[in-house]
Amino acid sequence: MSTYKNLVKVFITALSMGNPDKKKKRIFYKLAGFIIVSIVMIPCAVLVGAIVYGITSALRQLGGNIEGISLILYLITIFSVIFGINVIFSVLYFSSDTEYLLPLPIKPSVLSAAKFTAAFLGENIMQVVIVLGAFIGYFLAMGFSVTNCIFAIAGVFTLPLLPMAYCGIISILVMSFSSIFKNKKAVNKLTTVLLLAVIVMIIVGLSSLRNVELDEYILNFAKGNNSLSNILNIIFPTVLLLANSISNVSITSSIISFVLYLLVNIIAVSIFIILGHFLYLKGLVGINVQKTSNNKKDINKVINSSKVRTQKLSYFRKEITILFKTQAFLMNCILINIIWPVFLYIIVMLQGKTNFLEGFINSYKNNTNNTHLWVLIGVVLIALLVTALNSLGSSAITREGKNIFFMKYIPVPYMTQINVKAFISIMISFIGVFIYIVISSIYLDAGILNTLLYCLVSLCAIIFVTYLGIYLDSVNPKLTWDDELSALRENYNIFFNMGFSMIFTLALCGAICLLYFLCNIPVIALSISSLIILMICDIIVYNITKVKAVKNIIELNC
Amino acid sequence: MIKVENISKSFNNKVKAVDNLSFTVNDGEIVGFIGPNGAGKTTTMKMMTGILPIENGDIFLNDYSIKTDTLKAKEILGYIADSPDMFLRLKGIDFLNFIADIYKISLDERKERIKEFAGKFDLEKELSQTMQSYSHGMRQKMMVIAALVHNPAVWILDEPLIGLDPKSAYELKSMMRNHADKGNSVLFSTHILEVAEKLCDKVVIINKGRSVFMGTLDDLKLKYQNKTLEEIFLTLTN
Repeated sequence: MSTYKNLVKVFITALSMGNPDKKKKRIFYKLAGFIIVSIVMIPCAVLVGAIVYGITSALRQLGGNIEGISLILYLITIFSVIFGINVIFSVLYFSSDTEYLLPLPIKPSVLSAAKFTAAFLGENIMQVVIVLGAFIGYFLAMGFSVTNCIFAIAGVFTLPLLPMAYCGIISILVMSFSSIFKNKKAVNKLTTVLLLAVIVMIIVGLSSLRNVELDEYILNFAKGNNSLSNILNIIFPTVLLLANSISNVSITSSIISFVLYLLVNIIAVSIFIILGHFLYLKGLVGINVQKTSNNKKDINKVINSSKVRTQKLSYFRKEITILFKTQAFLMNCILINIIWPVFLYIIVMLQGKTNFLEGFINSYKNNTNNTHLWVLIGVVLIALLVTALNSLGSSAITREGKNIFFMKYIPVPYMTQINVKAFISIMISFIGVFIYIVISSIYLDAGILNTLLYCLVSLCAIIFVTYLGIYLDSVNPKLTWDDELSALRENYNIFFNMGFSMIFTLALCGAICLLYFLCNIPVIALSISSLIILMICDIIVYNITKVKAVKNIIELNC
Repeated sequence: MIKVENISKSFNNKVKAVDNLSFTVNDGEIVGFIGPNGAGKTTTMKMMTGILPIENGDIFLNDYSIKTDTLKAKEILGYIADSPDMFLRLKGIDFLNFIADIYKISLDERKERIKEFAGKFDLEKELSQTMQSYSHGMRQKMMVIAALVHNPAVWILDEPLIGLDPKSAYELKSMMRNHADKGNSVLFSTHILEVAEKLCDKVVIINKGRSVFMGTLDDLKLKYQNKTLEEIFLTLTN
């Protein structure tokens, strides 16, 4: 047991970011952490709580009880699988510490269990607040007892156990009985296919809503008569058991449900540990990070293909190649930008027969119901959040990892290097937002001037978040990471950038709304004002980056 | 020429990694930088290349201060770091072209050098592969080529022989000698005293961030007569 504890301790320490060297930066860092937790995470939890409260209260009138909370818990569980599968594969099979740990006299079950625990703790720290918010929302709507509260607190920390155990079991079976997944590239392909399959299933599932009467659907949902919930309950039985254990029906049924909940989790984790004991080492045999290609070309051909490029263009190509060739960066920084058109599609599908979008489009065309204002706010919101979410700016320095020293000894000014990184972030973020704006503008019949204005506003917003992210990442980049996914997952700067971007978005959108509703300023004037404000903010944050971020990079001890 | 003038560096304001260190590598010289683990060799080399900021003192590479003429100084140095695991997603040829672009090397010049070095280090058939598929030794060879592809006047090599096969180590040592013979400066760190003995014109031995000896190996042996090089090293660093 002590070996297990020590291993978990070591793995957790490796996951953490550490504090900056200088006192000033340490204070800034702690302050940023406090701000993000109190201003972003807590409102997020409140929002989830409010959603659960709303759904539960509404369904209660229709005879429902735990359907609202179950829905949110299912979503959290599905996301745990989506995000966890890659992490578990990486931690168990492709982390560099494995070659040091394997020769040690440690049982495979202990090693795999310790790695699983570290991955579980690292992955689920953020969702604790969200799950807690969901439970509070439920209790406010349905009432609660002390027993329910105790079960809920236990559930907050243990809900992702089953999905993570699934990920662990899948990874052990795949690595033990298949030779084609012995390199990381193949595993990345497998997890990408799994992820795409989930997305396609969601889209197909939502497409079926097109011909559904929404009221009837909700009524069935309240009665628990829902095929999707039934399927999910078979896959993730812990969700319904936990939901039952916190429902205030009877104390006996709550206790029985909770015992069953614990039992299912224990069984799942035990299966993982047993499989780990017998198969973990088998899966590790023959692991190769990258398959060697036999395509060795003639040297003259290879060298003659060389081209001379400018420093900036060459640096740009290097960055782009790494972003596109590294699965973790490709998925989390590049492909995440296409989530927005998918999101748009989901909204279209979710309207069912109500067709509320048509009403919105007609209002926009007639310039009624403040639709022009909501579109402007939507543009600002999406541009700021897309850029913060893709983390291209806020991981720009961290992505260099242990090779950060390269940035420092080549004869290229730091600001040039930063600008190339920023340009890539701006370009990739803007392409996604641009497509989104153009499609929306065509549907809305917005006209060239409005479309151009939306594009400019979003471009300025993207520039702001990009340089803000680079500056934040320069304060305390996470340069020690095991694989590229860890560079993104364990990098708090990405959360800081998201937090500050959300605060900025709220402030800007709040100001726009206030000026519109209180001072009756026309939307076109607000659009131009927003553009000017964003431009000023861009100049400020660019100059801060030019001075402070460069200084931070120079002072980095690497 | 490399001129190190009273440089100091501490980490977290506590640990003094380099303490008022001074030495010179003249044109035409190969200088071995020797010291036990944690003596401050890599820290000093990182300060020479601009990777670490210098707290006190200054370093001049062919009269360019790394503090004030940073870009000029960086242009004329070739640096091999102690870790070769860099840009592994890139193909070997793309990495070398990237480095050549950074140092603004003409097309003909880079083609000629890449071909020459790839031949010397037996990497001809590997250039079209991504570096992730390379062995540790092959990656180290690639770092050597990348450091020298722009024909820098000043070579700063941190443990350059580690991971190289005997043929490649021999090639690199010959290249170091030739480069110095052409009137350039080479500073390299090593733990292998025999290599230092055979290759270096001078050695700088440091311990706990301070210089404990500077001069030729003959001077050193004269000072500590009847002792082997190993014994002298242990005496100086204990």
